[in-house]
Amino acid sequence: MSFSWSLLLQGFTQALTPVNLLYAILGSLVGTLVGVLPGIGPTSAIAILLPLTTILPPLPAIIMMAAIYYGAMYGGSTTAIVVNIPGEASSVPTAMDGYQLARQGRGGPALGIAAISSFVAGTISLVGLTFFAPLLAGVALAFGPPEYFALMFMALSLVISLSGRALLKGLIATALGLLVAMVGLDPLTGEARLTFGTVSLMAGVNFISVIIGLFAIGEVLVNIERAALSIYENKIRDWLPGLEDLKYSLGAMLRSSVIGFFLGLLPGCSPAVTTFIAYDAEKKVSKRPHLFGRGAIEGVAAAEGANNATCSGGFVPLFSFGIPSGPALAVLLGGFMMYGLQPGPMLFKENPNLVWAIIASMYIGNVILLVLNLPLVGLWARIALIPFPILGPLIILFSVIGAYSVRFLMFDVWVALIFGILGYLMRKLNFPLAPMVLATVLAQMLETSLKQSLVLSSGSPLIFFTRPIAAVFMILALVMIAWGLWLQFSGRSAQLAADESD
Amino acid sequence: MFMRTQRAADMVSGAILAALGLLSLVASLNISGVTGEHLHPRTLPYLLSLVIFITGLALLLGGWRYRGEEKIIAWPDREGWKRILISLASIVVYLFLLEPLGFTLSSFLLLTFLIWYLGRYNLILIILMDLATVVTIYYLFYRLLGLNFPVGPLGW
Repeated sequence: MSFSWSLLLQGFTQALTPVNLLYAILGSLVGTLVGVLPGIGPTSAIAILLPLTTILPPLPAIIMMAAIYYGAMYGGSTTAIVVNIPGEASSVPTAMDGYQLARQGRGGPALGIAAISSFVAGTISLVGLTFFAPLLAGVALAFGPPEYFALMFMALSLVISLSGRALLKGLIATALGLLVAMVGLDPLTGEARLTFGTVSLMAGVNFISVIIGLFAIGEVLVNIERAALSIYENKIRDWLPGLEDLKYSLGAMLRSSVIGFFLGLLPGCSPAVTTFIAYDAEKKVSKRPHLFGRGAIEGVAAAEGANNATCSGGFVPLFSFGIPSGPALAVLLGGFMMYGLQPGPMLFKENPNLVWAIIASMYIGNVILLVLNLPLVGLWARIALIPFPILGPLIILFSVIGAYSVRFLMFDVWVALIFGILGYLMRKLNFPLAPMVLATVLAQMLETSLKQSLVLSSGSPLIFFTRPIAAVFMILALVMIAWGLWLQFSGRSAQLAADESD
Repeated sequence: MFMRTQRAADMVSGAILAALGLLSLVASLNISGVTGEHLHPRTLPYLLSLVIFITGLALLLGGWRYRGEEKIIAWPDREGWKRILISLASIVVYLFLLEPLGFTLSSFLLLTFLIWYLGRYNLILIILMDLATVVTIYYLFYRLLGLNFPVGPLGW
């Protein structure tokens, strides 16, 4: 399998049909909105909207979901700069310099550079995605069940080892996520598992309810405990960045695109991690490092660039292997699965129009977002000021709608509430959320591939070490676990948190 | 206070997790399955329960043996707890009322109470805003998208 211009062009013609364009715009709007609003992020938003989109055909629905994800990367910077409240964890480095710039009355240029850098890095890494994804999918074509099992095992190990100090808690979160997904009927034999004799549990615990609970409801509970924040606004003098700003930021945009994209290929490297890495790297190469943290425009460019590049980079393993690298992409994978689609080499081969239309729509989406963000940034900044006492109850309401409409069962809503409380406790007790979400979404694929592998080998687990590609993944997984243990006991991992708290 | 420090919290959550692991370990042993399968339906649940049991114990022991500086967990203050518990209680009541009263009416009640409770805005403004919200949701999701929400005695 290789990249072909004709497929990409065909993708563009499909993505540009009025309906698909409409959903790309809608997704970009929703994405920017949830990016701007603290207390709700792309993971929650996609999980809530997923069941509602099932009335759409797969293409517009997935175009919209993807746009929500990368759109949120644009929106997150706005509140970080204007009111020093990062809408997403990945916008924390943006706030460090962006807010300082805003205080100096240069909020406009900071917002402008954030949007431009998001666009530049988003587009550069999309080019990477366009060429890398089919290439890797070609490699993945040779994968059988043992390779897939080993790959997923490696992805989960990496996510656990990136939990940093909380390695043990990452492992617990992963095991819990897998176990929760096994409640219900065994998908292969139809055997009831861990149902404790109740009929409700026979239907299984739906992962969308789990994610809505952990992310949306959990985050609302965290915000409820604080009294309403008093938010004040900085005066914005000039709106557009000048040539000087662009000159300082250009290098940062390019460097952060590369850093963000390649780190984004790794499971567990969420934008929340890579923005910090790109920001630090920029500080190291800068000729004026003393300005970082005091209003360096290139700091904003680096953070926002890495943010978007990581986001597009994460689509590479999703499209070519069907492996999500973070919670938001895990929900997106769930979206594919709801339509009976399995991202991976077979999707590239059997349904190339769909894959290429989604990729093409992402190019278009980035243009839409630039247009939405540059002139309308003042409007978004205003929306960010919606007080939490109004926003929180609305998020609860939408979470209930989302959880209920998965299967139209009240049971799913109660599951969401229980996982909301669990999500609150996990945040307080420093358990990472990302491994749990990934595990819940991957559980069924993991078990199926394990089962198929054991059929191939007539029951011998050695098959994961005798097939060369599988063996490489398994060894990498073991290396990562060892590396995680080393980080754990050498105490060097304070900064590396794979968690993307939405 | 209960679970005030990270150490205490680790010990408590470790103990709970170990108990949970043990419970699901027993439950996994009761999973029946066909013989001759290479992967028995109980194998993975059993292994995962074992992992949770062992890691739970490890967390408990790690907390027990921890002798470093005390890390205080950022629990909410009294007011914060009160806000969380009252909000949670109102959500639970809402979920119980959802089917008998119908989605629209019960959502209106939840929004009105919770927004008033958390924000203390002018009640009339809140009611007007909530009415607009639930009516929009009703028409958008129920009428337009045809989603099957519970309806109350009056059909909405």
